[in-house]
Amino acid sequence: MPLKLAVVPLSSCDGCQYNLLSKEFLDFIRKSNIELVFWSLLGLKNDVETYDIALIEGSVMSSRDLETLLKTRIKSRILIAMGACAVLGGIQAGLNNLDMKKPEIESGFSKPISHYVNVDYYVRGCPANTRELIKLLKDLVSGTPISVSSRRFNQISRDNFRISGMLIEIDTSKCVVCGRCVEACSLIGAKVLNYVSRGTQTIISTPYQESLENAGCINCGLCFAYCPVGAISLKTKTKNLLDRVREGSLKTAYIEPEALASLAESENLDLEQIVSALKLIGFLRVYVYSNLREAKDATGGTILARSPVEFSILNKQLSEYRVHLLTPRIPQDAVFITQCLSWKNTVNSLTTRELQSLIRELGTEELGGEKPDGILDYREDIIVVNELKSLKQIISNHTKSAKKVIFEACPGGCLLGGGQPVSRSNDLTKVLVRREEALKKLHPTC
Amino acid sequence: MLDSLSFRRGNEGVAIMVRVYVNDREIDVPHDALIIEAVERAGYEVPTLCYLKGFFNEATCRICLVKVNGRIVPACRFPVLENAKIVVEDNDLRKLRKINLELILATHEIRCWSCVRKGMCELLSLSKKLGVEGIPVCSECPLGEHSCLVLKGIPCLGSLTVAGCDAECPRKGSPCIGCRGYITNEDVWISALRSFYSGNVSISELKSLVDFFWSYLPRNLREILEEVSNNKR
Amino acid sequence: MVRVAGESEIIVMIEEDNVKVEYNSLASPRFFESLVRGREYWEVPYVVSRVCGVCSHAHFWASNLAIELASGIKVDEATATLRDACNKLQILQNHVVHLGFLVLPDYEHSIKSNKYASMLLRINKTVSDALKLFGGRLTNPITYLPGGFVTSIKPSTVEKVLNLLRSIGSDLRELADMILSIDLPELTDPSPRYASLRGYPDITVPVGGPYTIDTDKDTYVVYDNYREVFSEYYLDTSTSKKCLMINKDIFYSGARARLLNYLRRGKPSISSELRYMILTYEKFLEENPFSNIYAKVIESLLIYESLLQSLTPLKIRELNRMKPGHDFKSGSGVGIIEAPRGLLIHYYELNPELRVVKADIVTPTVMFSKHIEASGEALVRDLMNSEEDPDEALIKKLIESLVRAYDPCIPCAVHVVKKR
Repeated sequence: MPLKLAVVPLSSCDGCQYNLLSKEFLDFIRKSNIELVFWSLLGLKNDVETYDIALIEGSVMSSRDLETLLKTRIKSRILIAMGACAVLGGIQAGLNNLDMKKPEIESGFSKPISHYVNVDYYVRGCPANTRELIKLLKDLVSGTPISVSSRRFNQISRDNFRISGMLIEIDTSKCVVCGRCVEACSLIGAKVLNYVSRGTQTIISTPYQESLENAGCINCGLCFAYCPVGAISLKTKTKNLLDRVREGSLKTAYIEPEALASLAESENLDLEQIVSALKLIGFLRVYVYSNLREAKDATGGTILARSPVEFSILNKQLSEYRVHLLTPRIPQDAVFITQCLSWKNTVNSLTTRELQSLIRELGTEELGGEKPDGILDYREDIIVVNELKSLKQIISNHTKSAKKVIFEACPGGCLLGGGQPVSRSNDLTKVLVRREEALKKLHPTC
Repeated sequence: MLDSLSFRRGNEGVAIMVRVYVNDREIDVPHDALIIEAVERAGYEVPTLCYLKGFFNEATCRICLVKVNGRIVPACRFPVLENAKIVVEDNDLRKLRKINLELILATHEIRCWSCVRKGMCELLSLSKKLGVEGIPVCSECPLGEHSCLVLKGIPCLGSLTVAGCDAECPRKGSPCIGCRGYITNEDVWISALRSFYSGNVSISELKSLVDFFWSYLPRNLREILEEVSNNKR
Repeated sequence: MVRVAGESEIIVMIEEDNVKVEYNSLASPRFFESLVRGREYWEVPYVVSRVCGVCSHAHFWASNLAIELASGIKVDEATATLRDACNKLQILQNHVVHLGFLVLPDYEHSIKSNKYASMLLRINKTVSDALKLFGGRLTNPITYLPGGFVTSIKPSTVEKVLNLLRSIGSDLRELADMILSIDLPELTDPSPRYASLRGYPDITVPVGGPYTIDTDKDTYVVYDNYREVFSEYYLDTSTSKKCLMINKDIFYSGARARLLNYLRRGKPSISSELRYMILTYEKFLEENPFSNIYAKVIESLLIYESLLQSLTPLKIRELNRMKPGHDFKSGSGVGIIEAPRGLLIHYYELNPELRVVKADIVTPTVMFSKHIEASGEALVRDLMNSEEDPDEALIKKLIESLVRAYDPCIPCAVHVVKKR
């Protein structure tokens, strides 16, 4: 049995209805089990006893409107208020505030339909959001509509505080105690964060709320990367760096292949678009650069630390080995765009995550495509190790060989580093695979 | 490279399969599969918040609740049970997930206008899925500290308006005029008026925008507007 | 009345030899001219675009123009061209939807194929997408305000719009073929007076007052004297106003008026094929009110060409961004444009605080409502003279299709009512 749909306008500008005369909506009606039985704009006036769904557009401004509304409510199983007029009274409700004593104005009060009848569902917006309406109708057809309501509980008062570090800041007022940061910090070995208090007062903290560095933070940024609610943010704001780019004291961008691959996965952008975005931000030249390049001259038997994070971990846990830090060798007026947060203490750098926010601010629809000014990478003779425990074994296997052993501490490697962009999926196994594929596309020899 | 990621490894080649019923659909899954993996394999989806497949499944958020043989359990954490009858969604589960989300929101101070996740907020997408309103348009607006209209002195009602339009107008540089309706929670109003607008935009300019679509603003919210306005003088 | 935007009724009263036709709007007035009072200059377009959800871009543009003229702000050519393009795209979109959804069902017997539904939807979608690129949305634009654009429109956007337009060229021609093959009823226009804006559609200079309005007989230079040319009056039976031209003549504006004036005074910048097409129908356009249907589809082709012509060479370097308020002065301004259904006039007075103290909006539907009644009376009289006892159903059917030929937009018409 098809669902009978009626479109009933009250006092309105007809805009919401007009937007329904679109391919998107009419195709949807045709494909679903919905029959349009009443829509005077299209001349449909089937005299049926009842409607399954009635869409009301417009507000109540006259007795005529009220009569139509009440009649429709009685006839309909489900009544949907469509658009700001039906939901809120519309822009004409502003008349209620005007001085009615003025002679030229006849009284005209506009009321939302909820003042007179029970409304089952709302589609907000002026004009009403057609996509939302289609989704609602789809759910009604399949029998699983979502009932929408306002957040019922007020803010719980909790003893909130801020914990600061050199690069990272934690604001517990936003923390929902999901525990991802505790897990991440534990996995990388720093073990700086844990739970304190009980019940609704449970919160994340360093021991005795001391600063992150005092607690042993190595600035990997994984807590920042995985916090779902923005309770953890970066201390350094991009504004200073961007000002320097705009005034010309910072001219070039050196962007890591891992950063490019991650942006490709999370924002669906290709290399040329990202280069174009960087140039829009103000960089004069853009190079693809990897600090793996600096591994070329490393001697055998040394462990190469991909970043200061690995350097501090290795110095603490494998102090018997020689560790060499792959510091990027880039000009003074260059900015290193990297998956790693910890470089901010060493060179001018921007994390991929910050670049992601900047690109979103620009708007991705308008990005053109430009080629980078150069590609400086090096991936031959490299072995990447992710786990500390396998490191010792691998080193002993390769002391005599020409292979360079590189340690990447973040779970999943640098592609899932602390400065990574927010990905579109919560399936990190898939995210990693997609980023690996994107990296391969950049470097067939990877 | 995946070594440190797999928190649960089975012998992929020699998996023992068991039969389970997801929403009455029969499927066979490895015996050590998680419920959420079985549900996905059957073609359904469970809403989640803290779950990160391959990295984190401590079931702390309590959103991914499903019913297994009538018992309510977190899908991301528990493995399947042979011949289990798994219900992915029913009225009980919908109610519970909603309450849990509202409790989570009650421990999260809403300050979307200055949040690092603005434009990509997981709480907002979950709220849309579960039907909870109360998060402002700022949460879906990508304009950060460099281009936010209010920070430039332009009155914009995004921080008090119900999200869902993807911040269509601010994205194009046009201030939000609140056509989707006002947020009814007082805490958002107080926070936005005292710590976002203050110093950037005057209350009288805001009131002018409020007069567009919010003629029926409830008294308690109007009083908050008046109070903050009076404290300025 | 169905298949008309908004709620209206047409009443035919026949008493012996007397025929009286009334076209009344039933919708509630929404008092926009009062709603904007006290509002700041930049808020006005947001309010008045909601007068009508069908032609919101027209109201938006006219109000922006009027406010800029009132406050002494000038915009550059690229800004003016883009705004004009928005309006033209809206006209194109309105015509296609009106003809396809509201008018065609009246003539189904006359149409050869019924594959037109998907073609109509395709044209509608393409033009709507183009309009979204320039105006931000199909209804209630958000990309510009008095003083300039708030969104940055890039050359690549213009390119996208051009590509979208080019993709429907053949569809438009097919639509034209179909519409022009319809047999329209015969009727002689009882008051063949019309008015339209000079220069349309080749508006290549920044639009600003004073405006030249061409009628079938004369030309008027119009600015704040517009009330001398177009006088409005009120009725008890209808919630909308009715409008008469100077010397109290009943007239019409819209596609038909524009094409006729274009023939007589327009610059020959269109393809000869199109010019020939318009010439073929010139007599029909002059004489028969139903010809508005033909006029709309021919105008669609004209607008299509005009858009390609004006957008192709468009150079956007840095598009006019909205100017800060302190550059604005107080004053009064008139914005007159060609909206989809005809002439649209917006008038605002700004006080030193840049708030509106007086507003006036004259819409095309108000301009031709009297003409609908006059033509309706002529139609009924013809029917009575031709047959012994004309069937009531036939009168109803013909009169309704006459009203639809004008494409009245009731939300536009009912924006104010004066207290008696």
